[in-house]
Amino acid sequence: MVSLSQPPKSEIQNLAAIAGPLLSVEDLRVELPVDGILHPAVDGVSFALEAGRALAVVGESGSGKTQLARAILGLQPDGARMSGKVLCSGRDLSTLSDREWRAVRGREIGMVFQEPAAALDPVQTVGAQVVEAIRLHEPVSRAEARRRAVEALAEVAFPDPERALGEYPHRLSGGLRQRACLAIALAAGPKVLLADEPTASLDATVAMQILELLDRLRRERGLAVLLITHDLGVVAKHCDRVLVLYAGRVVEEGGTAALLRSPAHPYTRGLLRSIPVLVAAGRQRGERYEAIAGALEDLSARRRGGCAFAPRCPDRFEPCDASVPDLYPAGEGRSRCFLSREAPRRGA
Amino acid sequence: MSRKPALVVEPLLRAEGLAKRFSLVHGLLGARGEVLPALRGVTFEIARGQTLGLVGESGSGKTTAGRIVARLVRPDSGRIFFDGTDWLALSGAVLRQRRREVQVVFQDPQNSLNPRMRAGDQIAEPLRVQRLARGRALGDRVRQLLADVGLGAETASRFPSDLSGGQRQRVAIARALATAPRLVVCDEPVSALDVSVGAQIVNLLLDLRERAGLSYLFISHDLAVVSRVADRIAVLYLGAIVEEGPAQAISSRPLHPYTFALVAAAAEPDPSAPRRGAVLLGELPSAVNPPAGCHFHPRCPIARPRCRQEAPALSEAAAGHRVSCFYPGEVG
Repeated sequence: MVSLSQPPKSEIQNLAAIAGPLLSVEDLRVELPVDGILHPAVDGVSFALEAGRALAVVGESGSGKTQLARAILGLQPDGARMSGKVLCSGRDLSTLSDREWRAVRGREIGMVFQEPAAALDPVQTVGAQVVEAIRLHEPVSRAEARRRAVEALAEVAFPDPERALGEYPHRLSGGLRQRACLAIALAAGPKVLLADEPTASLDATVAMQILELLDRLRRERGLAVLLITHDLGVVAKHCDRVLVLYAGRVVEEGGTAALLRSPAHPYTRGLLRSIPVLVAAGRQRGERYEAIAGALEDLSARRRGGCAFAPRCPDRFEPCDASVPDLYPAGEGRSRCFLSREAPRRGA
Repeated sequence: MSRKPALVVEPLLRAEGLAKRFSLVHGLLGARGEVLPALRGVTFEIARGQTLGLVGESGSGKTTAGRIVARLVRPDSGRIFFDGTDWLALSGAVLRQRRREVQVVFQDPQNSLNPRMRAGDQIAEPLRVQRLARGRALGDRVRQLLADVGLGAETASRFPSDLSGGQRQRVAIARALATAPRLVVCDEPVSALDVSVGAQIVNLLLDLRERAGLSYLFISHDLAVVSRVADRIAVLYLGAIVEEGPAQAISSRPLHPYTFALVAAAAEPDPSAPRRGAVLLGELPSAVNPPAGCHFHPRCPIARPRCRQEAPALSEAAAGHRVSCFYPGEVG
């Protein structure tokens, strides 16, 4: 790929950028209209994702994780306002035209979603859909595209990829459909995969297979994975870093192991206690979860002045109502909580 | 087999050999083709005030079992004794009257509630139909039920679309409790909810069980949730129970390789926890043409030649712990 002659300047810049993050998001803000008034659904989110790494964006309904994913793909609902930057291999995507965006989606950022059944075209064979994805981005012959489609299906461990070419989506199980979606997502060779709840509709044992497949793709082809999920259990063994979103803001970020072992933000702590873990030895019958009280308000009803989590927070104190906390250092990561400002060493 | 004399407390519900097949209709003309056996002879008990967890992947038959218990689906064969009554023999007015004793909470309150009906009216409906309350008493009862599930009286006038997912599920639970049932079939009651909301709903179900002395048939694909709620757990695979026993034993010392895989796959947010077991090969095979021998053998890490030819029976491996495997406890 890299020529031996003097490369043009832009390529030098590209190479430098490739050594850095493949995907970075800087101060991203997405405002959605509710009854004619704009409300921030994503409010100043920043992160960077390098080759071969997996970053989890964890959030519940209303956290803004879906809007964040859409914004990264250049998709915004009508009337929304977006600001901030999305950079892919150092290139600013926020200024692209619709046409340029179509070249980025699939080619530079692959996507898989929660419902493989909805993502696939029911009246086309799997093979036709993979071939289409390849030819959309590269002017190769049908025969060549077909050969590559078999490779793509083999890479996602599709049993008997030759035969799979002729199968229709409805004939496949949920797990195989998700593998087909992955083959399509990776067909044009993107370096970044955005996976939005890719296992939420799958049975536990099948979900595990898909997550292990993503791990292998990271190792083998340096794929960078942005995994959007509500499930911290999924995060634990398949992601290096975690961003926890609440009401559109990052409330905590850090390395997976440290964040799960000693969460600094009260919301992260509550979320971890809410996860159904297998209760086996020494359990008490009917032991309750230490659940988080209340619920996140609708977008238009959220408070602006203070910490968005304060109304549900067991550790709430005066500063929480006065202003929005910054992301303070907490252990190896950062936490948007005044308690982390007061005691920056805690949780280390 | 020696029976223990006296003091054998009759279970609240005993299901024996439940079997159900569904015909798959193909094409526009509805030519009848394959038959899908959803349940292949399933036997279980629910003790009074206790919870039986029914765990399985999609296609395991767990939902069909719950629907049969709630008298929403008729089995092809099998019997159910509910509080000593031949439950499947009930019909007509008696059935209408006794239906109230077994109620269901479904997975998705979005679909189980009527979108055009106010929450209060949905809760009042079974009370009206069963003629359990009227007039002012009806209003009082609805407010009490709302309070029981942690909702304010003002919720009564709201439509499902004005409520959050968690609030909707609370309304669905209040509706199920309206007729003061003795058994509630909870079919994936938290699967459609956010994690933090799901935890609140599980807590609520545990509170209600204590306060109202309820029994649950708790159906879920998630062994982790079930292990929190259930006293006993039955694991379904392709329409048959492959393991059944005390919840603690199932979660900590599973004997069937399939249960072992479910235990390994159960959410474990502690990254330092040891990764357990190998990933199962492949997916649930077609129930229409299940594999010969032990139905689980194509996915089983310890399958041997015998497993391909012979189907193991569900038999007692330890006291009160049944498993259908020729080599129980070998995996792991």
